[in-house]
Amino acid sequence: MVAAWHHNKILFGIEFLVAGLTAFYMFRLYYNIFWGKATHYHHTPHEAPFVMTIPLMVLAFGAMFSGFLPFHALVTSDGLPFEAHIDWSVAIPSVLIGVLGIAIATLMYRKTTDLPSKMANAFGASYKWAYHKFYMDEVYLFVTRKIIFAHISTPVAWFDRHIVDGFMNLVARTVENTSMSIKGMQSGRIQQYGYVFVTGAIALVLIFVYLW
Amino acid sequence: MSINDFLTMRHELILASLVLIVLIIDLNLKKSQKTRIIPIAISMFFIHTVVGFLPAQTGVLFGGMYHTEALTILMKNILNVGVFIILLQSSTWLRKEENREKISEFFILLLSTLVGMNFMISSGDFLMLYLGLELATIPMAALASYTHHQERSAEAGIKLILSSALSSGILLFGLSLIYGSTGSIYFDTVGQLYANTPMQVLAFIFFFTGMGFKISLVPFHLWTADVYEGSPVNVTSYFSVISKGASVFILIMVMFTVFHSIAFLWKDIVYLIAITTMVIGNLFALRQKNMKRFLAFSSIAQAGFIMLGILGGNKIGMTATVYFVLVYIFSNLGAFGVVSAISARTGKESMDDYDGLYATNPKLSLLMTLSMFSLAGIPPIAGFFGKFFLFTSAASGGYYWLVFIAVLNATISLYYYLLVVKAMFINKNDSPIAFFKSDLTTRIALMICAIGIFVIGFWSQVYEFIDSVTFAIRN
Amino acid sequence: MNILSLFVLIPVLTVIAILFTSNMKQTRIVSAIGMGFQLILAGVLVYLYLTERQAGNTAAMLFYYDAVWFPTLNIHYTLGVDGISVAMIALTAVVVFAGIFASWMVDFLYREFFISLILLATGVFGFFISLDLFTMFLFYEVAVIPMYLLIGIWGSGPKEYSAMKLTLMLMAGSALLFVAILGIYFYSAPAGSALTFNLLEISKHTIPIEMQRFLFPFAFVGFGILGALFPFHTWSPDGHASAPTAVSMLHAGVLMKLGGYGAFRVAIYLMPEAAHEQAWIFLILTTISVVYGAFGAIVQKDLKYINAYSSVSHCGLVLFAILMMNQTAMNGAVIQMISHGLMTALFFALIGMIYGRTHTRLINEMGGLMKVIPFLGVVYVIAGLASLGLPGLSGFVAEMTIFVGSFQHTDVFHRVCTIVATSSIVITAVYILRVVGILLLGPIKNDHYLHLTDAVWYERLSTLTLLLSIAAIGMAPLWLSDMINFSLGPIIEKISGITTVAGLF
Repeated sequence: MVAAWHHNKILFGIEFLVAGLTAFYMFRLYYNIFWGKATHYHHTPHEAPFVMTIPLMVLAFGAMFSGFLPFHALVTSDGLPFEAHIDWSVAIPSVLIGVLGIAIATLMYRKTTDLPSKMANAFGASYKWAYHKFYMDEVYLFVTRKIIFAHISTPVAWFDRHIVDGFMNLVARTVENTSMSIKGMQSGRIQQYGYVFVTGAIALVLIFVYLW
Repeated sequence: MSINDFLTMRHELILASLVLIVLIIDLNLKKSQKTRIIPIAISMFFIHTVVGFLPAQTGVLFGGMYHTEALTILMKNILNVGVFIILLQSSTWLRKEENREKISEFFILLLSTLVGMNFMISSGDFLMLYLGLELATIPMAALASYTHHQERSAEAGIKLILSSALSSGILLFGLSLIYGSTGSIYFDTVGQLYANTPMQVLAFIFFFTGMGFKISLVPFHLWTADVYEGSPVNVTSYFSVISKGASVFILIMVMFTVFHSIAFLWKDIVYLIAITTMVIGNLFALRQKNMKRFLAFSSIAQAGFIMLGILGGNKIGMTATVYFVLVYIFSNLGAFGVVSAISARTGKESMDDYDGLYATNPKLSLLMTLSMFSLAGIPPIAGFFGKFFLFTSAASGGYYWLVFIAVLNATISLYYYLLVVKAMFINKNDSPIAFFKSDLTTRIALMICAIGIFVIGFWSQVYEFIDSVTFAIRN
Repeated sequence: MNILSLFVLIPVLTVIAILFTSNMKQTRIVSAIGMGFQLILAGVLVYLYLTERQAGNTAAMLFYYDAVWFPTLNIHYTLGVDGISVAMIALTAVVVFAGIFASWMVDFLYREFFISLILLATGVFGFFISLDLFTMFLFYEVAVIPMYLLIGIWGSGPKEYSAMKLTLMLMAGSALLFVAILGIYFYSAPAGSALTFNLLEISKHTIPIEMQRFLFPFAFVGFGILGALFPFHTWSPDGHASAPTAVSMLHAGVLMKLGGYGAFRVAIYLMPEAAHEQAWIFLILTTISVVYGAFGAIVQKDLKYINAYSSVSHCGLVLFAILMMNQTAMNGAVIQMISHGLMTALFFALIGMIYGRTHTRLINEMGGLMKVIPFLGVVYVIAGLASLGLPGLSGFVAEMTIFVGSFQHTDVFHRVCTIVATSSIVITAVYILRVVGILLLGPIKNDHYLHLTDAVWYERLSTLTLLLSIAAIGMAPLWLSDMINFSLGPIIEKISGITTVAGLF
């Protein structure tokens, strides 16, 4: 965020807002899961076994203290340590917005109230959009199923079977049909054979004596 | 006539004496002993075939009417091998009760036509060519109606004799025009004098139609299907392989030597005829259900492919043509051998009867498949090499589009060849042709075909040998 | 004896050995031994190749062998490999080996089945080791024809129709190819010197530009049909759907790569000038292939159809990358060929195994299979992830390289094509995840599925072979791309040394 503050104020603004939202939704989850009325479960909830809690503890430890690691020196883009001093103008508002997010979450979800549904109603359409993840999945499904499957692939497959392949089959069938239809030339009548013979000879003569 | 002259005419003389020997033996056999003629004739012909490969005398006889060179000897040998296979294949059929009385007729007629073809190949002038042609045609009509108690066979004979009378007439008219315009019938003289005058072009076209009739090029092919279907299987295979092969040999030699001066013109004719022949042959073959008719049309399409070799007009072209005929003999006789074996046993000749053949007669099916693939030009067997070289020769003349049309036609032909394969391997049949064991001669014949189909392609020496005796258009 | 000849000899010997087997067990053991040996041989070849290169051998082709076959036409039997062909050979060996085990339980006419399968493999191996256009073409057709019998006899569904269609379309492709090869042959050398079919010889000579313009489309489309170039790809869905498992594996995994490899080796390498001129036409077609195949795959209901369309898309990407004609993209193309070969073979193997259990390939009828056949399920997911280009698996390396390479072109046309083609990655993710979701997750739709058994040893062997290869390329792509790059260097030099004569954009 310090970097964003130095380079682009709009980016900083978005990040600032997102920080507050993150705090808000994390605590929404926290209150909904661990506070409030006990719901009926199929299985009685119990504490996780050690195989799960130990990794969790390691992760929790990391989450709490990894900020103290000198990452700015270890991970850099140009080999030089990233020099960042605590910039109070960034730090204080950040913490404040985080606290604000937590506060709103506490207000809304600490106890079961009708505040969240009121808020949902107040935001109306945008709540619904957000609830449906802005319909991204639907868009993807629409694009694949309706556009690619139905309007590109199916026609392509049809085209392939009927036009391209149909053409190849047509070539074969034309040869066969021609073969069928000229069968009459071979009538079995000797007069006709003689006729064709002489005609052929005369045709050759006409072509090569007169036309050539 | 000295002994050397006899040696020069060795092929024809031995064959003619074979005919006489068969006739004499036949006269001295009792009715019940007639089948003995089969092994005698076949073994004699085998000796003739082997002798044909011995070193021979080359030269010119009768003042240029007759000539032999390494190429003509090779062509005759190729035909001999084919005829030998056909004779082997026909023995089962000849032994049938209904044919007993006229076994010798089969050999006499068949070998006479072969004599005619040999004379045609060796002819040095148009008179000899025409005599050979008639000798090769008229006994053939008798062969076609060999089983004359069958209506179809008789019909085939009469159709053949009428059609060939017409074509001979036109051919003879062409020859008379050639004589009239050049004053000679000798190939050498005619070749020197021939020019692009309308009358000579007309004469050439008439000559070409006559040969086109024998090779069954479209539109001179209409007799083919009916005659092939009506004749006995072995006669049909003789038509489609030997008669056609011989005519191709003669046509290419005459076109390359006598008509060399109008090559630019006949190339266009051949171009046109090649396309129509391939396309029409294929289109008709697509829907045939009778195996003989099917092979008849497929052989028309093959003739169209052969035209590409002639079109090349160069040494590759002639080598490829001769080579292709050799390959074609083995492939087509492989197919006809199977058809004949099955027909002789069961009388079945329809493609539907072949359904499920692989389950009962795997060896016959495999040979049939091999032949079909070879005819379709599938590697690594001989047919692929044959087609490749034919098309190479056409491409060497720059006829790329023609080559493309030809290869597309080869693809279409693959379709109907695969139909046969499909029938044998894939189609289900409740009552397939039962298993049978062919007799020795048939098996030897089929074996020779199978080996030929495999070996001729790989073994490049065959091609190289042919190439050593062929020539390009001679000036 | 040249090591490369063994790659043709061993399959042929295996086929002969199979002829002498008397029962199913023997047949498949002989096949497995033969192809296992082939796999080892491929490994040895990779090793020998790398040591040769390390020893400083900079010849374009290693293990060169040349024998005259038809002297008058100057047809040779010429063998030789560079990094690209070595990689393709290794791919083929792996897929064939896996294919043998995937068809372990084929019992109908088993001998004929394995013979046809191995003959097909012979053709493919022969194609990759050949340097002579004649033998290359010969082996190409050898690889295509057994397909007819394999699909027609052992296939499912409308098998006769599919088999015929596939064979005829591929043969029509080879008709085009044939014209191209003959054309190249007759212009393969300067006037006066002997014509040749030898790739290396021809590449030293520039084919006249008018001939190139005429021949290039023949060569490219000819190979393109095998590489499922739009609109000549329709043999692929039907063919794959009807083919038995191992055949689909080999066909999509290896045979379709013949198209890409040939388009690169013959069409572009020998006719670079025309390639530069006409690339834009084919770039449009391949871009369509890439996106079109992916869209086509989305709505298919049959698993094999999904995979077939996906192959159209992925193989389209190979041709797309080849047409970019720069080092990075071509490198990517080769890796994509290998990667897709392995991946799609794995897919088809899995589909075959799942089909063998559920007796349906319609995804709507299946569900929750992960619970009952976890091994196959997990492998399926991994294969899917490789297919959609997840880093760490082979698909990522390939696609990344291709798109980086094609983005190196700075003009608008190439950029637009690249961006359009890139969208296929997303679409691929859609159809892969859709299948995984329906097929493996969710409720089990049929009680009968509860009793399914998971993969048995030969199935595990088959899938793991492929899976390990995919992971190996994904984890350590460098040895592969180095191998390819070294050989690509001189080729790119020849191709890109050309200034476009008539650039459209």
